[in-house]
Amino acid sequence: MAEDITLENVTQEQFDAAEAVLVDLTRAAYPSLDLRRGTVLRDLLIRPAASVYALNTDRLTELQNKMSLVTLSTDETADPSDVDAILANFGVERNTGNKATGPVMVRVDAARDYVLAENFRFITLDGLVFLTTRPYTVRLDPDTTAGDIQLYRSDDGTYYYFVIDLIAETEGAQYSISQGTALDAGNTLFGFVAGEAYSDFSGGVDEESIQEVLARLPAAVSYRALESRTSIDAKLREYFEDTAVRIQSISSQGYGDRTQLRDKHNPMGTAVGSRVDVYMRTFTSPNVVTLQKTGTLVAPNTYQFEIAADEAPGFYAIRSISEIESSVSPELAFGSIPAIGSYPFLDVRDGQDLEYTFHDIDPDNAVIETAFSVFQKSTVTVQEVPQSTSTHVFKVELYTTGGLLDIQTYLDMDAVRNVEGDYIARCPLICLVGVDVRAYYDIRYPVDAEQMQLNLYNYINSRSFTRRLTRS
Amino acid sequence: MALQGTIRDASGAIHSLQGDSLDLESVADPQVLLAPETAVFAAELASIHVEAVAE
Repeated sequence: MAEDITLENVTQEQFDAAEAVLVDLTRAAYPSLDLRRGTVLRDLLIRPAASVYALNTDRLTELQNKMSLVTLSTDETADPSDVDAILANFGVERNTGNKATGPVMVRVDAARDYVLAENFRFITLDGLVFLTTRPYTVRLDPDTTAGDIQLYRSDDGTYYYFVIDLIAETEGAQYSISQGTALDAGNTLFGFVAGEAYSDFSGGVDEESIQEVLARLPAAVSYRALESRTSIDAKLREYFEDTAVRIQSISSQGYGDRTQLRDKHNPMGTAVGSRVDVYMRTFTSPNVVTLQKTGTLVAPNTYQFEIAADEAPGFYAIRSISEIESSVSPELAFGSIPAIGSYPFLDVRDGQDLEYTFHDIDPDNAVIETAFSVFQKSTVTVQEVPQSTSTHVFKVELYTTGGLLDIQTYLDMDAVRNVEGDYIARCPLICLVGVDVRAYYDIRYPVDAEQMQLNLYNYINSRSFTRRLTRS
Repeated sequence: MALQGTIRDASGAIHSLQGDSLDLESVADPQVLLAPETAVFAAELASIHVEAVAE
């Protein structure tokens, strides 16, 4: 704050300038006064007043700087609370970041009960700390009603393992660690052998920068109602500010838009409006959710299970299906969604619980009209599984957009939705991109291939809804 | 530099794109919700291969 500036902060140059101004002003009004250095008037009148003048000038400059977001954005020493104070004038709050979450696979040496207290620590080699969010009791014969976790025996019988959820100790994107990242136990766990990220951790977000706030300010201060694209964007961003749902971009498809199919449910097939599909990108890099699903044998080496609407709401595609303790490469084979190392499978979608919703969804076209929404379910048939036991547990990785159920619940609130409106939130279709680059360089000017890879990764994942991705 | 893209439409069909640029309009089909206004580009780090070759 400007009041924090005291006389001690006033420099000699500022004081000299203030003194010169006061001398000039006084001489202009009273030319006969003797204001030379060492005189009584100079020492008792001008110099004390110059101190106060210099102090107020300094405070005024500071205040002017803190009244401008543009100025603050260029000041590396700016206090975030000053930015928040200005944003409060617009009813906008800066996102303060989110903590990454994800599952860890813990390998242990024997079949015994394991108890982990809440806030049990796991640490990466880089020193990133993750905590358990609740106490866990792990058993071979778990009491699932009491929240116990299943202890599994490895295929070769050399160790046992279990999977539990972790949350990052603090906010930040660096906590979105990759699948397979080693995690050591930060507290004592008898029998602990090793730990590793069971799938990619997601949701870790850095504190919003001033530049990012400036970019979204036009939408943030717009009229708040679910009517225009801008206001839908603004209302959703406002509501989910400071939550785990980090909205990256939104595309609303309504009356007259070619992908709006739900407003043509009449014999003429003409659009009648009032139906809106809201595609929400709440991820930067592809967001992956991991499920453990028990399949039932339906044919030799073939299992089937269902992914219900509430298990991975609105998931886009299945990234991989593998053995429960496997780590599948995130690399995709060109022209195929399952990652390399996945079992082949069939993913058949349909609508779920359509009779209980007021949303206008054609049951005869439910596969399309519920696609990527919280009203879809999937029946998955996994093929070429070596085993043929009656049931089999699989690790299933799904591409999702986080928070879709929360978003749909919000859009359905009576106090929020337009009384004539019918809004369905959807995960965007994700064009999964692969890039091959060969960079030739002069040996005197080496190329940082890792940095180039990271730059490409960040560039592709920062795109909004756009038609083209070009190599330029 | 070669770009490849794979996208699944609402019917479950997989579409592939390849070349100097990936144009979602080239595979657009509104009846299965596939269009630039419903789709985004995204990449996993492991799907980006950069090879630096000294000359």
